Amino acid sequence: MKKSKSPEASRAPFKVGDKVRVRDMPYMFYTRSQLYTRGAVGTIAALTYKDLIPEEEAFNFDGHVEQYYIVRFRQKDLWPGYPFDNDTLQTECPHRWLEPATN
Amino acid sequence: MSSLLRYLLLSPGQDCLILLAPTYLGLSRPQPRGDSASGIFHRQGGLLRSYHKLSSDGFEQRIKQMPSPDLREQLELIRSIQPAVHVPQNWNYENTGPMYKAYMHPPHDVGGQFDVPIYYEEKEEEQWELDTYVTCEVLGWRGVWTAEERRRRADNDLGYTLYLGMPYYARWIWAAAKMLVDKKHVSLAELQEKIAEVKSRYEKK
Repeated sequence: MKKSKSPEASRAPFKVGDKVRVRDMPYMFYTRSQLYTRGAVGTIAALTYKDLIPEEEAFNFDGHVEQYYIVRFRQKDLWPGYPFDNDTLQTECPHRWLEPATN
Repeated sequence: MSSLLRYLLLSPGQDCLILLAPTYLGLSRPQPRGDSASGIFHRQGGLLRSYHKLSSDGFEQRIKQMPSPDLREQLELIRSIQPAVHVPQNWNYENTGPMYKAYMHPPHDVGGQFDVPIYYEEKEEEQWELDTYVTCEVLGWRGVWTAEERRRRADNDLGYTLYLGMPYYARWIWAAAKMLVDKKHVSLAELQEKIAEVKSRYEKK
């Protein structure tokens, strides 16, 4: 495996309960971040583990390890016409895909 | 449509398309061109009709001249999985932002897309599927690829036609073979010879 040259994400780690927005990074070659979550605001539900990021592991780069989070969204925030207020959806994102959100 | 015919039709660009249009597409004048995204769709709509005309007039007659029924059948199958708007999509210089984004979208990111109800089937893995799983995992343990690279190759890289056309584990084994060729663990010639040899052994049984 080749060593990664990409910088560690410099922003402070998130904690459970933080509001985060999924970044809308360019679609190029590979992604694990679903279209319907991009730009959506959710809440950190759990910190899972540190691991290689998909964009690098998928091309055999080594060494760039980031915190992964379970992010919880209200279904209504993902699908505006969704009929039930309390339903949620959880997915997993590495640190670089998230930015702090005020709401 | 044979690749030779498509090459003749399309390779020198729009001028040639118009030049050959009366012969092959049955057009009497060039289709209008549009700049906006909706313009592109109008243009595609126009050529789509022409393409159908080609299918019913020129193609059917030409394909009947093919010497072998097997080759004819294979060409028909290839045609059936090509996008209907293939002709106006060739070397499209008018890709707009959203259109570019749509082209870049990976086949496996399907969440939120419209679909028809499908039959839910409880299906056991077949032996070749279990073998495929183990083969791919062992390739991982031996450091030949990572799990994420397998996902990238088997879910993302193969394009919509193969993604939708093959079962789950067929995508895995296809990706494993492609990876082994890409990384020069086996040559394509070597792989072809081996598959041909095994195939003939099975056919003798």
